[in-house]
Amino acid sequence: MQKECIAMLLAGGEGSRLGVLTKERAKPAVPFGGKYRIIDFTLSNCVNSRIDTVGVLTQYQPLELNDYIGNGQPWDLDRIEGGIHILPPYQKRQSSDWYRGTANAIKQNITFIERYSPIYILVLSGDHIYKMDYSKMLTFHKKKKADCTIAVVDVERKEASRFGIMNSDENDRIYEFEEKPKNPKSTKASMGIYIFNWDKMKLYLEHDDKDDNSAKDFGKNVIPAMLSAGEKLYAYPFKGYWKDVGTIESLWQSNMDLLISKNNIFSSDTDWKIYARSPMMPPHYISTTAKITDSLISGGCTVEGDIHFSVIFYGVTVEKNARITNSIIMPGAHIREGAVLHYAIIDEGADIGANASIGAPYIHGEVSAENITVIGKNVRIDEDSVIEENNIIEAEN
Amino acid sequence: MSINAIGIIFSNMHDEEMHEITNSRTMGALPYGGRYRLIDFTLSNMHNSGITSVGVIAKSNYQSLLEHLGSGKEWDLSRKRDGLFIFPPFSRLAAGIYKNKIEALNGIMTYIKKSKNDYAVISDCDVICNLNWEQPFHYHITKNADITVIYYRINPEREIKNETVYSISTDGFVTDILINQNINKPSCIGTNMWIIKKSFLVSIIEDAVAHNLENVERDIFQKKINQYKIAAWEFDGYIRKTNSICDFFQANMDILNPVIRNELFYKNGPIYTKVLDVVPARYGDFAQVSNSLIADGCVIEGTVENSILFRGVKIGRGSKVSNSVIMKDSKTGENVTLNYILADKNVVFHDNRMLAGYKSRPIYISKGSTI
Repeated sequence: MQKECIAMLLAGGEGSRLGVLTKERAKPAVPFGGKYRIIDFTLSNCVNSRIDTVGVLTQYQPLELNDYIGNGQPWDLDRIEGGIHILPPYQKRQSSDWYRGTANAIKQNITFIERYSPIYILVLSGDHIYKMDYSKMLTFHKKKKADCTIAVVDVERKEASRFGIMNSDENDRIYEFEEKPKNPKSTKASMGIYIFNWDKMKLYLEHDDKDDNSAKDFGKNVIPAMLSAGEKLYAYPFKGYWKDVGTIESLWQSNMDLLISKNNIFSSDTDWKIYARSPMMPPHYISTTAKITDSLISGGCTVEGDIHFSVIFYGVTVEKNARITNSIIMPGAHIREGAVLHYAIIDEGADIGANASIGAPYIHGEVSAENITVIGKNVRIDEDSVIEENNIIEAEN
Repeated sequence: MSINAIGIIFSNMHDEEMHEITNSRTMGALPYGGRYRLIDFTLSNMHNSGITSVGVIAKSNYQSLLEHLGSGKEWDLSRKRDGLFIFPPFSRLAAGIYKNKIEALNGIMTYIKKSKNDYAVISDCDVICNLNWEQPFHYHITKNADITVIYYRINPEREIKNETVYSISTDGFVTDILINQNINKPSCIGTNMWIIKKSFLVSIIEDAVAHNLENVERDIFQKKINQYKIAAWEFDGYIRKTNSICDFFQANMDILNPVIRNELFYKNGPIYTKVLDVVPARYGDFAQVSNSLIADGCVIEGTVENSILFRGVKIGRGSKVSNSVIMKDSKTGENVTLNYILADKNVVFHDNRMLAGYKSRPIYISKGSTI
């Protein structure tokens, strides 16, 4: 069957800057916002933009992500024609290979793509928090008669040198691409969202694959090659909330953004729903001893302690006299009596012993986002122990 | 973990007893516990007991029920083999809407006969409990009974109306059935949940239709009590029937108790319901919440105590909600005071409104009202 546009979602990266949070899971499977995973935003954007065929390229620690995606039903991606497909690297008669770079990952799945004979390919990554209508970007791409359109977002000038920067003329045509420039000429950062004409893309992928010096990466190789060949590349300006959650600090910050109405991505454009695989749990219970302000709390929690400026995922237990401030508590964690958490991220199923102190001392007040303490999945912290700021504790195994 | 039975659910029985709330929906579609509908308990209990074929009999006002059930996938009942079967009234004869359970069961005879299982478990959906059918099922087999009814014991504080009372012999069989009793002493109360061999069900229903009988309990169980072996299995966990607004309100309040909450939502497996994809609840900087159950999608800027808020409820700044049950998407403005209020879906309380009921008589505010 023919599809005008299909999406390829690059979900195989290691996400090493998230440290212990991506030790046993791919970055797109990292929990976010009380009940979501990072990939929910991209998948929901696809469905809401009426793109019903999505290939998810997995490689690094795919088990949790595969389980989470399942048959795609929570995102309405269990379709008779199209739907969601998990695409790991696989063994072939002639050669077998891991995905070596983003471009190579797409190259190895040409057969999959051609089953749908698409005109356009939407390339996405599963590590950003944003709401975006890809169909508007596709309309832009068609109107400009582009070969490739790259979504860009305005970033602050001082931040710009962390991103790939697109320099474009008044018609949005890109004439130069700079990867992490020291002195950026513009503030238009690439969002890692590309629309290609498939015939053009295929040509460049095959060409790039033969180049042994290439890193086989869209940003580093394919886009520069297309630019120097004089292909028509356009920058699609995106306005709205967009956050890279590739580091502990940015993950923490974007969770905290949810607590401030004007930055809360869910309170804007409420018809553009973000879907997630939901656990079956009753509403959360707040006891008489609890005090909660400026926080997000999900289903199945039992709260008897104090929570301020924090994001609490489903199935979390917070016992009496525990105090949680400026922290993220992921699914099923247990915070025992009298424990104090300040600027901490507690991963799934961790157990924080009674009167333990995690993170910066409370008296310090505001703490820089770089000093977040992270407790890994299923880690047990003994009672009365003290884990100071900017520590990362992972399970022994 | 599977029993050789189909499930049959009556979604409408007893509607008239709570007509304020069930005017626009069937009993089964009644919202409960912050995010559930009553039928979720019946369906989840069957699913958690390994029952894979369930027929739901609907009678009238079943629009919200159909919307809730969908394909049945939330209860794992969207299947090629077996699954969820919904039976709205089907007018083959002039009769149209069926009048009683016998007619209803007769109307779905094809389904009962066709399914491959040997037994049937039958339930209304006005009962809230977390029951694993395996135990009464094995009891039914060991007792070699024709019918097994599930009952519970009560020791009422005040008179309870219109219940079915069983007298039970020491070896666990029903010796007498009293219908429509007002109870003020310790008694064994029927739940309208029973287990029966399918072939036997078919024969008694065909016989009942031939004799123009009307009431399962009165004309079959009671009349034939000496002829049939009716075993009785006691359910000794948390159970609550919802016969009145006040009962229903109290049943909601019960889950503020952690022991009841644990038993009801976790004991024999989770209670499944339709997923709505709402965001987690958000607490504002002046939020004060105590002893309450808060569902996803709520936004709380005011004070909430001893209350249950369903999905998407918004409590404005300066408002105080006490001892109340507020259903889906209802909103209060600023400085609203509510005490002992049962607000149905989509109710809007404008700024500065004050409403109070009383513990034994909470005030019900109907769906979509503006106060």
